[in-house]
Amino acid sequence: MPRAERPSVHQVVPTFASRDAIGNHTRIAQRLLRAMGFTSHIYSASAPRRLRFQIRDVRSLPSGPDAWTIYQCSTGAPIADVLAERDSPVIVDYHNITPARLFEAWEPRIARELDEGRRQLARLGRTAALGLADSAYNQAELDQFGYRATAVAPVLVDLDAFARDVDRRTLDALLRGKKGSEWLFVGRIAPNKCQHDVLHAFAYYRRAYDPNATLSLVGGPASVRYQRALLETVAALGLGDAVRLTGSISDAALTAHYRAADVLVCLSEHEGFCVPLLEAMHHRLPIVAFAAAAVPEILADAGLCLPKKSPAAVAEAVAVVLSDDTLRAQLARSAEARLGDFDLVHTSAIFTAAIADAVGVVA
Amino acid sequence: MTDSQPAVDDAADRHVDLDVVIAEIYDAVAQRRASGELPADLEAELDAEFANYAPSAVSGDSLSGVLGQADKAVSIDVDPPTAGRFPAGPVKKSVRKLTYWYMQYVANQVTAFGSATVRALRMLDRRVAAVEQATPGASRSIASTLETIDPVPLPDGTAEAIAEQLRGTKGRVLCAECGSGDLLRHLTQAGVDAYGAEPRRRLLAQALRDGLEIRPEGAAEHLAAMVPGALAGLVLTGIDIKPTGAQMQLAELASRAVAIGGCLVVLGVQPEAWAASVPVVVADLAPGRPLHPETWASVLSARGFEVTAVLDVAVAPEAPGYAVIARRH
Repeated sequence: MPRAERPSVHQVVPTFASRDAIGNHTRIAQRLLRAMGFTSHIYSASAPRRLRFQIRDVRSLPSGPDAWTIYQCSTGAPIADVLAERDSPVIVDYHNITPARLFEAWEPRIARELDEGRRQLARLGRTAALGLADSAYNQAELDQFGYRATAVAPVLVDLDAFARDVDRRTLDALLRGKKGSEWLFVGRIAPNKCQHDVLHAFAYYRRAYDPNATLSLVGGPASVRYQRALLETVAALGLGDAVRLTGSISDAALTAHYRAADVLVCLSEHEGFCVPLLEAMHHRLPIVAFAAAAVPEILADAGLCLPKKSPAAVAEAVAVVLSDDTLRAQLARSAEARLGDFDLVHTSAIFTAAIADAVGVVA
Repeated sequence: MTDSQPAVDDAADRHVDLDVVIAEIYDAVAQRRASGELPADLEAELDAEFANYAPSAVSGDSLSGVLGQADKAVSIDVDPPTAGRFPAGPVKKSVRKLTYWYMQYVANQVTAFGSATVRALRMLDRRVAAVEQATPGASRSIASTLETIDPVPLPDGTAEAIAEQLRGTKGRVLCAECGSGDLLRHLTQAGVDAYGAEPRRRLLAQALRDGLEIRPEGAAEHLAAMVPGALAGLVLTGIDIKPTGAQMQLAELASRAVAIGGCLVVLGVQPEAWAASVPVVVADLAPGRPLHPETWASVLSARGFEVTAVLDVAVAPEAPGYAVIARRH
C-alpha cells in the first residue's frame, strides 16, 4: 500500500502517565507508527494537563474501517467496551492485568477494575485483529482468552536515554550515607509488587548478615492502604533510618538510585514484564528475584530467580550474590547479552513488523 | 557498574550453574537454621508484625494471626475524628454529640457479638491445634523433623532392576520424590527420558550439579498440575511414610497422569521389615506405614492399572522390599 494511502493507526491509553513504562512505550510506539507513514495520535481519558497538546481526549477518537486503534491494556476502563462495539479495527497491546485477588483485601475498588479489565480483555478478543503481548507469559493469557492472532513484542524501552542523566545530588546523598550494602526495588507501591516481602527479607539480612544495610523502595503508591501498612511495619521494626520510600521520582534520580545500589531485589507475585529488571541489567546491578509470572522469562539467566521467597532464602541469596565475584561477573555478562533482546532497535523492528502484518502494509 | 561496587570483570571466566547456586542457597539456609546460626523465630515475627497493619484477608493461613487482628478490631470506636475547618468541624462535633448515645447503644451490641465470636474461634483454634498435634499426618513439628532426615540410598541392584523395567519407554518418565536422585541417575544412564520431583531442596544440589532435571516439588503437587496422560512412566518411591490417605491420593493422581499403556512402578519396603530399614527417628515419627504389595495391587487394579509383576528388591541395605509393576489400560 503506498504511504499516502495508509490508514491511521492511533493509540488509546485509559490513563496516560508520563513516568511509567506504558506511557513511555506508547510515546515510542507513536514515533514508530509515524515513521511507518501512519497518521498516529495518542488518546486518553485522563492525562496530565501539561500534556494536553500531545495527548488527545479519547472522545475525539476517529472511527471507521481505516482508523485502526491500538489499545494499551493494563486495567479495566470504560473505553475498552466502546472499542469492542465500534466498526474500527482494534489491536490490543497487552501489558497484563494484575489478578484482582492480589488487590481485594487492600483496595476492593481497584480489584473490581482489574476484574472488569479481564472481562473486557476477553470481549475485545472476539473482534481484535491482533493481540500483541509484552512477553510469552502475556501471550499465553491472550491465547486462553481466545484471541485469533497473537504475537510477542516486548515493551519499547529506550534504556540509553533513560540513563543519560543522573541526579548528582541524590547520588551523592545516597553514597554519603552508605555504610553497608544498598538494596533497591523499583515499582509502584502495590500488593502485587510485595514490597513487604522485600522489607522482611531486608530485615532478616540486617539481622543475619549486614546490620548497616539500607533499602530504597522507589515508586509512587498504587495503594495508599498498602503503603501505610509498609510504613507502619518499617517503624515497628525500628528500620526508619534504614528504609526509604522515595515516592515517584525523576528518571535522573532513579538513575542515581541504580548507581548507588548493590542489588535489585524483586519479589513481586505478579509482573507482566517488569521494566526495572532491564534497567538493573543496564546498570549491571545484580538481581535477586522471585520466579513469578513473567519474571523468569524476562530475567532468563541474568539474575538469581528463586522458586520460593522466604526471608532467610532471599537474604542468603543476596549475601551470595554480593560476596561471589565470579557469580556477579557471570550475571553481568548474561545481563548484557539479555539486554540485546530488548535493545530498542530490535524491539522496534518486532513491533513495526507485527503492526504492518496486522494492518496489511509493508513495514 | 555501580559507583559503589567492587569490579567484577576480573573474576574468573568460570561458568556457574544458577540452578546449582539456588539449590546451594536453600541447602545453606537449611543447615544454618538447623545449627541455630539463623534467628529461628525472626521470619514468623516479621510476618506477625506486618499482619498487624494488613487487612485480615492478607494474613494467609495463620488462624491465630487472623484472630489477633479480629481481637483488635472487635471494639468499635464511636468517637469519630471531628477536626475540620469551619463549618465542617463544628457540624461534625454537633453530629457526634447528637448521635453519640445511639452509636454507643449499637456499638455495645456489635462489640459483644464480635467478642463472643472471637472467643469461640479461639476455643476452636485450640481444639484444632490439639487434634493436629495428636495426628501425625497433620503435625507440623513432625513434618519439619522428618524433613531434616536424609533418605537411605537405594542399593544399586534395585535401581538397575527398576531401570530395566523402564528401558525403551517412549516418552517422559517421572521419578517422584527422588531424594538426591540416585534412582533417577540410573534411569537416565539406562537411556530413559527421566526427570525427578523432590520437595526437599537441600537434597538437590549434587543432583543438579550432575545435570539431572529435578523439579523442586512434591509428588502430589507435581502430578496434580499435569495434563492427563502426560507420562509414559512413573516411579513412586519414598512414599512409604506418608499417611495412608496420601498414598491413596497418589494412586489416584497416577491413574490420571500415566498414559494408556504407560508403566507405573511403586517401590516400597515390606511392612514387616520397615522399622529396621529406616532411620530410628523416621520409624518413631512417620505419620504413615508402608503397604503390602498385595494392597498396592488391589488399589491399582481398582484405578485402571493391570499389575504385571511384583519384584522382590531391597530398598535399603538388608531391607527387603518390593517393586509393583503395573500398566495403565
